Amino acid sequence: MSWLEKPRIVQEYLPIPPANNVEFWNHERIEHIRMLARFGRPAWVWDRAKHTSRRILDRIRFRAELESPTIEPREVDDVDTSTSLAYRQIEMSSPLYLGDMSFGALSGIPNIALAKTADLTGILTGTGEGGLYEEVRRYRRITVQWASARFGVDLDVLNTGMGVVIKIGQGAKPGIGGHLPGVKVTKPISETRRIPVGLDAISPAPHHDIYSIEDLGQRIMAIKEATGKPVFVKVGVTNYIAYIASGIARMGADGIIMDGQGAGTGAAPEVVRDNVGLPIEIAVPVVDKALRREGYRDGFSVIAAGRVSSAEDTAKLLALGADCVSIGTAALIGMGCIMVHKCHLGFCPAVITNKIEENPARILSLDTATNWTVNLVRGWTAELKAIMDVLGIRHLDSLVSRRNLLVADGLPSDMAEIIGVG
Amino acid sequence: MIASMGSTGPPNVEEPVFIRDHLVCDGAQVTRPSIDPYREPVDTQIYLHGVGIRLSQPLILSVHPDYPSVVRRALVRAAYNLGLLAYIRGTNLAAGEEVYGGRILLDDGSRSHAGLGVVRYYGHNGPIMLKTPSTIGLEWAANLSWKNIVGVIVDEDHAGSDTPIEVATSHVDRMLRRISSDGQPMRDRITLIASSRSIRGADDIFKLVALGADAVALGDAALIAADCIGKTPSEDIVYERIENLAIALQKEVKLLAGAAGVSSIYTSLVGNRELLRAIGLDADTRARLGVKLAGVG
Repeated sequence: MSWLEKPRIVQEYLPIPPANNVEFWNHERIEHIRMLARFGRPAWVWDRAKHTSRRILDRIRFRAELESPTIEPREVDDVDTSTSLAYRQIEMSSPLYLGDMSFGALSGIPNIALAKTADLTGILTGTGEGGLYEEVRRYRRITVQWASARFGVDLDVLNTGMGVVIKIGQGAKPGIGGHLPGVKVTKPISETRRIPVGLDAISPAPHHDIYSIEDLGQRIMAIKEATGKPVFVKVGVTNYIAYIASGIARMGADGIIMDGQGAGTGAAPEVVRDNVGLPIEIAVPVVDKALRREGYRDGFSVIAAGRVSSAEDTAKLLALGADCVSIGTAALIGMGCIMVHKCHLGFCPAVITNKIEENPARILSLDTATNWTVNLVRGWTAELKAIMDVLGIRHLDSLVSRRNLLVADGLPSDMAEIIGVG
Repeated sequence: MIASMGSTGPPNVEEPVFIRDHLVCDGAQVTRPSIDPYREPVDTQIYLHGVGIRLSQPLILSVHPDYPSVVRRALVRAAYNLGLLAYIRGTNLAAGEEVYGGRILLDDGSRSHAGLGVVRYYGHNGPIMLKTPSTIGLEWAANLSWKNIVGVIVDEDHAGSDTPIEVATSHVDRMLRRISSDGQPMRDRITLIASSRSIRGADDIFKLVALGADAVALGDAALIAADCIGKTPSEDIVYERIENLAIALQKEVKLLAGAAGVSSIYTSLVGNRELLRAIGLDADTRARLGVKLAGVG
């Protein structure tokens, strides 16, 4: 019986199983992320996985790549990837935010590894819905989430960390609330979220006290008043994203986290995941242009999420108009995720999203998971530096909204025009 | 169906097969609230004007002549019990089906009107629906006497179909809104049904309703759900599978509606193309559908 034995500590990657279907996170992308996570050094400069992908972002290229298509990966020193978020309230060593994955969706060790990574590398980790796990709380560079179910949220929790995220929606299921399947609501989760063991935790689809942009403004101000911390609003990307973003900026938020279609999730109705929402690469330029037009762009942070898979994706999203990207799935792959899409069942083979038991048979090694994630951030940043070097850009801020660096490669002209690439 | 991690669906990962694979649905965010389909009511009922009946959801179950008799019986029973319609095609009623007549559309292939197929509502003498191929050639409509006609079925499986069902459905919907009868748009009293064997699930249903259909007739999805090719499960098992399919489709339609902030399919979704956006469709097709490009506010 497993509870008579010590848990086995997992500290190596599983072999990647053959994919049955077409998969965005294919072997090439997983192998690349593993290279970064193992060695913390650049593994390529131009993303090689994009050539077989249907994604719109993969059909946008840097002009510089067309001029210098083959560049060996290398470390570059005299390029600065540091930036700041939320009207200069949060300094970042690299434009990477480890995105909003909850204690419960992940099995504890990964949550700690993500938070610890942010402290070690000077970036930021979102802790997701569902209350703050004690082991995560001690790290400084985290944001706490104020989501529709308000699981485990009190003033004390809101005052922890560097900022508060009001979660309105997420890319995998805009308009649908968070969902932690009953099989994963074990005793430790029940204590953190203050809900009964074994019952599905389905968060309300809307916040029942936010039915308009004015309501949102009141909540933003209340949280700022209570905590003095920057407030971010997280939304899924939908048809009217430009109006939503401009409303969020007008109502005094310090930033928006936009999560595009295709983003990861611990559990979502398949029909919603596959049909609702727009890709992030459409939202970023549209929102950037709208905010600039209205004079709300300076200092306000645009964080882009959803299928951010490489440094090239990061550089492109910044050039399209984001300040920072959010990495979720890629961080899990760095910790050993093999993309079997079974998080909701609680039996993750890579022990990342398995249910949290009191006497587990296997647990992820915290040291290894942290090393992998720290290396991933370092390797990713190094690749970003190499790209910036090719682009001739020394400071990250001069990459933001530089759509003229990009060119459409096989995109219909009307879509290229919406995105603002030649 | 609950799933996890990022989508692998079309058009961004898998290759799109149909036009509807290029269409994405809206999610309501802060500027208007979404509706919680697990806790709040989402009304899926559809009222079919001329026929004078309600469907519990925008779903019609097609019965093709090649379906095994056990599936046919299950479809007819399930349509009756769940407040839907069975759409029996190419044959007359089988023995014992008359009792379900109040929930049967019958196309026995025997009659035609202005060169189009005629589908009869079995529960009622008199009102008929026209069955057209999926096409944008609508010359038939110009001089038609609409007396007794209560609906149009755009049928992608009908001989002569030369246009994808999405385009034809949207086209007929708009045509019926343009022509009027007694000062009212014809569409106000004519039911529009989109029918195709290729309908796969709630997403297809939701998108075709947003493109103008009052209800969507699915075909082979039910056959797949019955899972009886090469096997012979009992009639009760087949019935249960069909019923589960219909109930699950209703739940999924509610999820999509709730996510989009739609509380009533009939009043807020039918023809509401604004809830859709296109990724990777040319301008001409978008114009025919009446759907904007993704990224256009």
